Amino acid sequence: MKLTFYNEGVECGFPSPARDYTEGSIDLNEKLILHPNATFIVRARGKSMINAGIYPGDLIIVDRSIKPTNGSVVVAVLDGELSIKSLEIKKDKITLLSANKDYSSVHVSEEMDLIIWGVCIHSIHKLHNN
Amino acid sequence: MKNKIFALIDCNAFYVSCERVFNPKLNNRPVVALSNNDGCIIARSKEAKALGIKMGVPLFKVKDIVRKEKVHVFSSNYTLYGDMSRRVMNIIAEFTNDIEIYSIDEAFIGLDGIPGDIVEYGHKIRKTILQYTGIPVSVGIANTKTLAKVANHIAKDNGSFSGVCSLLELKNIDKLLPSIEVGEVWGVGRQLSKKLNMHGIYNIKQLKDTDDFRIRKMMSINGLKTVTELRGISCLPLEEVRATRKSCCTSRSFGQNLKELDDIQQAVAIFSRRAVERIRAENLLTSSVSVFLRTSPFDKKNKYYFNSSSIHISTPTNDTIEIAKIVSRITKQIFKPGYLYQKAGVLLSGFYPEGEEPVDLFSQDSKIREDLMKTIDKINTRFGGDTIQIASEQHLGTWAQKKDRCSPNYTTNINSVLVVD
Repeated sequence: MKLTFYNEGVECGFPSPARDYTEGSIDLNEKLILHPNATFIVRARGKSMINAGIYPGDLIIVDRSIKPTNGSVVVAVLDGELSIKSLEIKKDKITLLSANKDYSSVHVSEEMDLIIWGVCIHSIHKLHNN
Repeated sequence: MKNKIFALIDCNAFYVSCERVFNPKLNNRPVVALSNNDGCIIARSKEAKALGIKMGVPLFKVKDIVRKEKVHVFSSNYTLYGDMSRRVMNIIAEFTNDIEIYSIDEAFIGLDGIPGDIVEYGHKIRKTILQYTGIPVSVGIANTKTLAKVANHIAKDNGSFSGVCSLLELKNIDKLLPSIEVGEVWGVGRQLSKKLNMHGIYNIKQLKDTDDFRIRKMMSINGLKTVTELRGISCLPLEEVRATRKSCCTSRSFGQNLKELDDIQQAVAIFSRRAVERIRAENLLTSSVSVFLRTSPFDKKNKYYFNSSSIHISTPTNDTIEIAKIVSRITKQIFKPGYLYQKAGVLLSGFYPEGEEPVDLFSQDSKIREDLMKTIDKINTRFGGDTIQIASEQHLGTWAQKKDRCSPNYTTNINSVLVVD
């Protein structure tokens, strides 16, 4: 004897009236990640960017393909150290700003080695513990 | 006909570069990556090369330099390298459809019909890959694949090219070639370069200028193709579609020698599943399963033992469970108690494309099994390679590989992402 599997589910009664209006579901990958090959996820630690809406433990979506500009929140590598900071470009002066008055900001001098690792485009903050 | 234009894009010290992206402190420091089981050095940063650390040497042979010079050592993290490779290749594919992915860190592309300056285009590809992924690459451009590889070697070796070298532009190729050894030519291995040296051929210029008759005598017909390519005449086209594979082998040394059949069964069960996953990804069915087992050939105290056996399957299959059963049966057959086993492997061969296999009149309908296999692959792809296993594998037996210095899976596991202050 052979049993047949129905993968599609069996319909009873009338088909749903919404059936012709379905659009698929919302895909967060598609909405939050514009350049998948250049996008990396990192986790924030510490409170230096709290006033920019970045809390300890948040997941940050970093897009390396975007050109950083004045005001961008970036992952910076300053003399080999990684940090999340706000980028301030005034004429030819670059400053890495913290978004918390308890933390200092850094004026980047000529001797320092600064690499902008990527531009932070979203922060994912957990509101409910389950 | 107009000359063709090829480029070889090759990632610089790829495994090391992957580690550096997520650990910028390693920039300008000596870094090496190890082969499976932490055996030999298979990737070196420029700084590690400068310390005289050679490619392929066992770690223990250079442990003094490593300690003294504070060389950073990594176990190979193929999950990370595979993901970074996928990104690099995707970015290259955005520039052109003419792409042959040659290895985890190299791709050939065709550059015919590119408007504007070709070298500038090479720099644009290089810059984009570096910015998007953090991986530095070198680009070699020429009229043949073999010359593109030579150009790439020059770009890597000679800082004045800033990572992109084109042999299209250089009128004086012949001035650069005498300084490069024949062993650097694509397809000339160590044996062959020894042989060429014996015939007085040491550098690429000499090889290129040797007459066809002598080349054929020394290097066979493929060698003649290589040399013709060195002369700027293209013989090797881009292979966009890889030829169907003939066999698929998964074999590893165990982390420590194994004595018990049960432990070995666990290991071969995993090798078996991985091999089957690979052929399933290529829509192939296997009709022959082999297993081998051996002790260490370098162990002078104990007797050497090697055995292998194969089973032919009348109904070709890519069913993990069915193949696991066969593998287990063969393993039991070839296992002999009282030995310390060092390595085992599973080899699948005799492939048929799915749907083209000979029909076995007595086989049962395997549709349900097929669906199950697809589901297992999906889950393992989504949640990580080993989420669903065959019961005989169990988890992390004594045979698991040595991976003492492995970096986290920064790009593929949400619990391992880079943490930034």
